[in-house]
Amino acid sequence: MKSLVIRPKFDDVTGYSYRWAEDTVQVLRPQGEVCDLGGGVVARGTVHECIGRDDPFFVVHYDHGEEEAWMGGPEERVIKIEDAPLLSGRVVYTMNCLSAKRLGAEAWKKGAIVYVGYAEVFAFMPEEEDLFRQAASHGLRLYVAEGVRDLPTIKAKMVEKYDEMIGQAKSYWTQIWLTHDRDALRVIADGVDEPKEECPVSRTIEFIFGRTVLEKLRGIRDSLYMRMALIFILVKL
Amino acid sequence: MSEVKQLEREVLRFLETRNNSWTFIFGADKLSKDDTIKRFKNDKKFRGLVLTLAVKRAIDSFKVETDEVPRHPPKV
Repeated sequence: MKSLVIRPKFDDVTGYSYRWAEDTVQVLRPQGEVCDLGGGVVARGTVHECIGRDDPFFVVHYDHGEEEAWMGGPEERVIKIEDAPLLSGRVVYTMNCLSAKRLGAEAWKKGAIVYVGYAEVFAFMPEEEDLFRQAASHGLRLYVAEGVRDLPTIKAKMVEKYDEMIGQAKSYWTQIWLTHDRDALRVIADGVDEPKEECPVSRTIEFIFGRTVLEKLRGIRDSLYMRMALIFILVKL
Repeated sequence: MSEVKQLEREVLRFLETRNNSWTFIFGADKLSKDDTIKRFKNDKKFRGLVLTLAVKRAIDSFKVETDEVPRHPPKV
């Protein structure tokens, strides 16, 4: 199974995430070829080229993030929310800020097997960085090296790992930020951390008929909008 | 003095007693001891987050005592 690891390095903070991502490379390498992009600014085109060429089963991103994007450089967004379909059928594992909030939810809706990430800002203490580092890669290790496929179990074990790290932390300040990261962790998949629909109508349809029907209805709605827009333009012309 | 004010004062005292090389990473920001103190004093949202987490941590500690949260002894 091929993998893509995106670990840009372009400031002090990404210096840490770049090093931490080495753990994921080590875990993934025995599984097959790893497209390891990092060490400097990573361009959006390079990431998309690698996905198109290698069709990786695992996609990993360790760096800065936003609610709707993964960063590859100070102004470079390597994956945006509209790229969510690219993550379909893949295991997506991230250690970045905020991306589980919207991008993760969208990726799962578009067919990602699982999206592991954080719904809030990720914070850590450099003086006890190893505790954060161990907890951050634990889920991938469980999935790849230990063969755990039950995603609710992976979530529970990752939370347990954070609790273990909290128990080992010397400083209360470190403990509270491990608590923060633990509670921001999302393992978005069927039956665990499933994002809730904001619209009450969508929520009701999903509750009664399921997600597949909801997505089909959305497709019909979108094509209707498209046709109406085309008719409107033609009438105007 | 209310407990919240007292907690706020203790967090500040904790930060002020760190050595000068102390750093904290909050998202994309690398904060020095002074940056963190400044942020704690001026950024209401950040201050609220720290205080909430401090209380949450205390609640978790009680949960460990009642075995609701797994017990993980510190490494020796």
